[in-house]
Amino acid sequence: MNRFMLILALLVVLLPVGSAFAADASEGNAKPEESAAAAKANFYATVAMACMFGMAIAAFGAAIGQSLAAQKALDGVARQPEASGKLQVQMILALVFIETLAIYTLVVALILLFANPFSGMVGKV
Amino acid sequence: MGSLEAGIFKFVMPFPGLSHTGQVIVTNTIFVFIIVLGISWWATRRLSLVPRGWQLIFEMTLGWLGGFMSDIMGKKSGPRYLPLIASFFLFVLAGNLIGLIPGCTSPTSNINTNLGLALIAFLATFFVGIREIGLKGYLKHKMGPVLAIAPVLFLLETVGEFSRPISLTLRLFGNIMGEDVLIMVLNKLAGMLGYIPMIPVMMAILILPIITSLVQAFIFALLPTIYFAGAMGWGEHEQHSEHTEVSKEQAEQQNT
Repeated sequence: MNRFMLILALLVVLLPVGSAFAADASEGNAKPEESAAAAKANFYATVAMACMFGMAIAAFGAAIGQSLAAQKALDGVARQPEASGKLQVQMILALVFIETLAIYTLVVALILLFANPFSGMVGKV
Repeated sequence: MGSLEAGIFKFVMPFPGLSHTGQVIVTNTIFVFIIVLGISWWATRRLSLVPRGWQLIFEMTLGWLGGFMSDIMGKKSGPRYLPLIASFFLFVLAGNLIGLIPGCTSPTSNINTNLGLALIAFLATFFVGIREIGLKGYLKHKMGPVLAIAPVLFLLETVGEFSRPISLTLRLFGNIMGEDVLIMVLNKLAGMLGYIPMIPVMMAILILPIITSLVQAFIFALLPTIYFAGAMGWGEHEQHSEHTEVSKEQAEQQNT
């Protein structure tokens, strides 16, 4: 328990580092110049990076959540193989609920990439 | 996004007032209707006591689905709503699998189709609850066990009830749209690298969309069943005896 707390504290301390890197990378050359083309390129680059980071975090969380559900289902089947049909159905149901949260993120990413509602205001502040 | 919207016959039914995407989606929906009804008609042409061919496939599928519904909703009212749930299942399954044909678009990859289906399921839970336990029983079930927290619980249950069609829609839309985007990307990749080397890669990658289509169709049929069971108050009142009857039967079957 002590070691677990130590590792958890380390991860919490390292949490802002990732976002600092991301902010530095994506806003490093984000000084808006006067040309509309540069503003457009900057906008689409930021949108693409936001979608990629969001989807990566959602996939990470969904993978861990689904692996927990699958672990318990496999434990149950190993303990009692004749209940495998019922356990399989419950596992699929749980997996779909967890996966839905990652799918919400995917839907937002698709909307931002393909049907961006803010793309009309690029270049005019 | 041009290749995402192409229809297989390169023609769309000219519905006035729809955009091009809308016309493609409605054409493909009618196409899916024709496929499902056509295969159903072919399966029931010469019904025999020992099923063969498509009749066997349909009997297995509907029997399995009916078994699930009886498990979740009880033996009395399970088979009563099988037509609705099986319609959901067959339409969503056919609609998902159509998108795997190169050049076709799934009707379920559009949010309007999914919203229509989800609204049908949402209204159906209301009617199922009223039909099974009456209007007073349904409202009393929504108000919870204690009368003191009834307004809060009623509000919470109503808001949760509204979140169900949204989650049904977005789940199906996100999964099938992701599948379509994947196939579009594969097509573009095949266009760049040549089609012949891409065939084994596409065969291997296409397993995932097929599994996703099957699972999403099953989930779209299973979740309204669970919502119906929740609307009927399943598992809270006297249905416990029916549940233990079923498990006693299963225990007897396992013993013999």
